[in-house]
Amino acid sequence: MRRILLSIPVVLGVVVVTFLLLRLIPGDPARTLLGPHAPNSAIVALRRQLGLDEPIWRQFWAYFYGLVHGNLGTSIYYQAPVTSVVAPCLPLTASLVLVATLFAVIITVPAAALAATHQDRLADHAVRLFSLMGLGMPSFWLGIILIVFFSVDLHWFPVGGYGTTFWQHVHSLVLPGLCAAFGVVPVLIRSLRVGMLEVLRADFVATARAKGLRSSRVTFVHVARNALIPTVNLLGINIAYLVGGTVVIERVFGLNGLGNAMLTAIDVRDFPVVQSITLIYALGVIAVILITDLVTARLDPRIRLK
Amino acid sequence: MTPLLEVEDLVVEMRRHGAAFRAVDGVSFSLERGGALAIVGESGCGKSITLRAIMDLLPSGGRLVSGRVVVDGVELEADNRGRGRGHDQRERMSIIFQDALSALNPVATVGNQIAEAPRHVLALGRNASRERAIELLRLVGIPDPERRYHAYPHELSGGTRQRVMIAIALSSEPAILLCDEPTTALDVTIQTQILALLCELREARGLSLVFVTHDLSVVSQVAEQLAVMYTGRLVETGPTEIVLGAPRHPYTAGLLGAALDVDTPEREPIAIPGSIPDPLRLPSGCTFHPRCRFATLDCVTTDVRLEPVGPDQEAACLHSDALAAALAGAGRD
Amino acid sequence: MAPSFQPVETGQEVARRPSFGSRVLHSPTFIAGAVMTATMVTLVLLSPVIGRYSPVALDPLHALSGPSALHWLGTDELGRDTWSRLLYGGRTDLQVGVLAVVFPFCFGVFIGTVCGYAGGLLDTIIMRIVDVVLAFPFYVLIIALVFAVGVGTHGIYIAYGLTDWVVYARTTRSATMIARKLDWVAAAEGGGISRARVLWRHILPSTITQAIVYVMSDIVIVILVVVALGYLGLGIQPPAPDWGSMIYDGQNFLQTDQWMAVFPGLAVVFTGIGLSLLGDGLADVLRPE
Repeated sequence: MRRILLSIPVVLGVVVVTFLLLRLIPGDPARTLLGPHAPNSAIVALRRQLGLDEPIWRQFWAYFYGLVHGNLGTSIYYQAPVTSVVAPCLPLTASLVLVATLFAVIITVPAAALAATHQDRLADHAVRLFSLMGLGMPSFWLGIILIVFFSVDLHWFPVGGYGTTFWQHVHSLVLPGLCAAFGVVPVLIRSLRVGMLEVLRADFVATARAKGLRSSRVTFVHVARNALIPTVNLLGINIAYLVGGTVVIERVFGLNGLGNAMLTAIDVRDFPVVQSITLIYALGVIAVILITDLVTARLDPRIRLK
Repeated sequence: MTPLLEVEDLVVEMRRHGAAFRAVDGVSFSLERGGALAIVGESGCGKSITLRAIMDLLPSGGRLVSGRVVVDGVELEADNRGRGRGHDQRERMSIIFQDALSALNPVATVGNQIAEAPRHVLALGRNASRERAIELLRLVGIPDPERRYHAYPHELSGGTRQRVMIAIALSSEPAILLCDEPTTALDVTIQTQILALLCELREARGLSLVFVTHDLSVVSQVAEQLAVMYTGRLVETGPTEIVLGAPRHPYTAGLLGAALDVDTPEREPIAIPGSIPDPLRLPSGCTFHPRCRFATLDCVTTDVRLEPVGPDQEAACLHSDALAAALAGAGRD
Repeated sequence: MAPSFQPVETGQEVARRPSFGSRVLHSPTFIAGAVMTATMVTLVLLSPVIGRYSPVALDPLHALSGPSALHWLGTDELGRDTWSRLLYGGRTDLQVGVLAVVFPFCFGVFIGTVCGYAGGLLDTIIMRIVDVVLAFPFYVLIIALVFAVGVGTHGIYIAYGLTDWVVYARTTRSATMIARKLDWVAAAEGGGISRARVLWRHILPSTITQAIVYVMSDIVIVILVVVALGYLGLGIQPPAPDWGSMIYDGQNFLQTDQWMAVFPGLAVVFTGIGLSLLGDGLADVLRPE
């Protein structure tokens, strides 16, 4: 539970950063939002709406207080509470992240295991080549290619959109999920392969084999159990990157999730929405990292706090 | 009486960054029932690989090229994929490693690790294996074994971990124990304790020992037979006392720090000049010749093999007699 | 009278670690990466020469054509030559990519070294800041920052500068903390050399290796960011050519001209692979054996 306490300063820091976002440029934030050609009356109105006339610490306190009570501010564009704008988008993004993570794990773990157990042989080189190709590939470009191939040409998947029923949801998340996964799969495969090699080379594997245990027991009880630790760890570290990748993917596939909402808000300069979504993303990532930390501690007796 | 363990002409090839070399180049020795053999050499001479090759636990990149391992008259089949030898052979040989921390599974309790072989290989029941594990913990001198059963490797001290490793090695009821530098990482007092434990176990259970180390001071405490290894080959073998007292190979003499400098007869340990050659570019003939005071042109051109130089002693040196004379002379002065 | 023997000089040496030059030549990864990167760099640098048209020149008569003799890789919807746009776009993207990592590298290594060496309150505070930055999903933060400070190249520089230094700081800090404990460092310090000098001459050379290797992957990441932002319209602004906006334009015409979106992406992939290989090769070459 110490870990939860340790993340509080980070959470606070995140809140501060999102607060400061608009104030990064010298000058009047309201003018920045509305552009240089906006009439003064609009600027004054906006200033009042955003509470920019107050001293800065008061503004922050208002912001913070609002957050604690679940109030994310008011959307300039929709003139409605940000929460109502943002809430409908959450399930989609959460599902996308989930699907992407699943794909990432399903692809990475067997690939890394294959490469590690066949080190320097054909399978290893093939896997490394595959991950190398992915390193430079923009995941959204991959998305477009996949759309061309699977949706336009083959009609296997919808070109975009989310659908209405549960199965339509799942169906429409396959390609985007794959793309988002490919954003991190190359890095994951490389790191996990190294981690697994370390486990395979470890003396305790030799000890286990020396005992005369069956190969399957050595693999599953000794190797896998130990390789699981770096896997979970890696996943936690990379989840932030995965989530970030979904923003662009949502745009490519026309999915109305948080990312798309954020981009639309940027187009219309709806600052409170942008700010809130950034905050939500960050908090989500912190929560996931916390969970992976706890799971890792459960798995690895060496790092359990006494 | 047939020796318990016979190793004949073991050749192991290792690949490093695409280049292959012979880490073990034609090593042969035998071990009597209840006997103990120490293999000595500097780091990188191939002694650890020898043990691993015998147990068929070569690291990736290692390959058994040729050679026979015969245990109790039965030749062992090599599997060549490091998966270890077959079921029944397991009960004849076990191995303990230098670094107990990395040789023990970090996520399992030590008790479970000791009980694993009895349970899954000897097919004892769960409770019987547990009892056996506790018994072994006690046997290796770990106090409060019932409680220690549930400890994790990283919670124990280095010496205790090493004892756990010995317990694991004993859990499969071996007749032969291969020891890969088990005391190198420990400080001197613990070292002595572990060595004493090994000797005790040898007596109590009739274990035969192959003990690999780079520390000459340890061998006389542990083994009656000694083999000296250099660049993958044995350069001298014989009874420990005799080899240490009157070495017949310049390398052994060098290791012992026997001073051959006529100008300064006081017995200062002198380092062997030069350093261990790159295994990919071994000197021709006798691989020790660039560092040897006795080397002649013959040493560069002849493929020198182990030859008997005494009743039980063998040395791979063309000038072993000259060495003996020099040592005797220095001793007299 | 002891006999004396002369050891035979056979000139057989103990192996020494091969020189930097020879290690470079023996690392296929390094060579492959260097070749690919050099190819890409040469091509884009020569864009005025080998690009056959200005990147903004319109040729409406041949709009949306596939590869042909007139336009090697085809044209886009306004009739602009894809090959030329690819080259000029590459120039901009690569330039921004390389320049954007300069500040994060320098600042990050500096801060990381100071934190790792000095420790204490400064270390704690800076590391908390690092944690906060790392808590944000990377793209989300970049997009938000670009929104806040303005789009275009300067926005990219600022956004990247504010966020990317943390990785260098972290790795350099760990390396410095390890180096600090080494015996030879203590010897240098004990010998009366000033702390700054110890840092600069003794610690930095060994800790900076990891950072240098990372620079390669970082450039790949920046280029991906630039391209992504270009795709979203938040990056390099039209009419300046940019691989990202070319992909965006291409997506609108998937039904009619599938190639428009493909080429810029391939260019990115090629550059990415080349730089990654170079980085890997560099890691091999620089690794202390």
